[in-house]
Amino acid sequence: MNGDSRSFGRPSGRGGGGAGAKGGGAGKDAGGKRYFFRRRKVCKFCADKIDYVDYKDIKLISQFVPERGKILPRRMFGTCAEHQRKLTEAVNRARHIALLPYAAD
Amino acid sequence: MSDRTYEILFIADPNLGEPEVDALAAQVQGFVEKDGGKLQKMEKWGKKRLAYDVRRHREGYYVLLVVEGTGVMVKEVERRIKVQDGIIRYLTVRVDEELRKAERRKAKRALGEEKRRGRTGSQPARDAEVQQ
Repeated sequence: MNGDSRSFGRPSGRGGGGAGAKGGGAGKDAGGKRYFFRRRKVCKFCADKIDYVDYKDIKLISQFVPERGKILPRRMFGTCAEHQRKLTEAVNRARHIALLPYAAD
Repeated sequence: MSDRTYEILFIADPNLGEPEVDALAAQVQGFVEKDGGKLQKMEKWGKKRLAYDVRRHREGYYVLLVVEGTGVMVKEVERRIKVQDGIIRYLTVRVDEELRKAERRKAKRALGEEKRRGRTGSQPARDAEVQQ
């Protein structure tokens, strides 16, 4: 739908899992049982049309930051590069003003 | 040069009373206005828990000011905030550019959607409410 949301689509297989199946649709288990269908993640910010990631909106930000306060890599949530960048900026601002932890104990 | 929009968010000492925090907020507003700035909005979030200790405090009063002014003004306001004992942390962010960008993207998207709808007949998409 929206023009600039093409940049994800690469669900890098994590750990010893199997190669991540592409989100094409024909996810039959023809080759081996290692291949399994994985839903292609879509950037939530693109889907919800959030243009400005506000550092004050902890409710939104905390969906992408685990309780310990770490920023997770893009592949975890499928955010597009642009929004990941904005998210990082917002998280760092929120951390400075003590809305989010730097590192939880 | 046209003025810029900034958000000044600061955390006041939790040991202060509500009226003292209000006074502090008014003081910061005074700093802004003294240097030719204009207050657009003030929000008091009240006492909130901090995510980590700041100067040995676990909570603090959050106050947000949205302000119009110049870079010189911000510099001066920040200097004054720094010497305020009641303020334990502050953050100034310039927002006008980002918001303008977001606005433009929104407009562009609305335009594209209209075009698309025109081409493929009427397609009542899920976000058809922002018309007119």
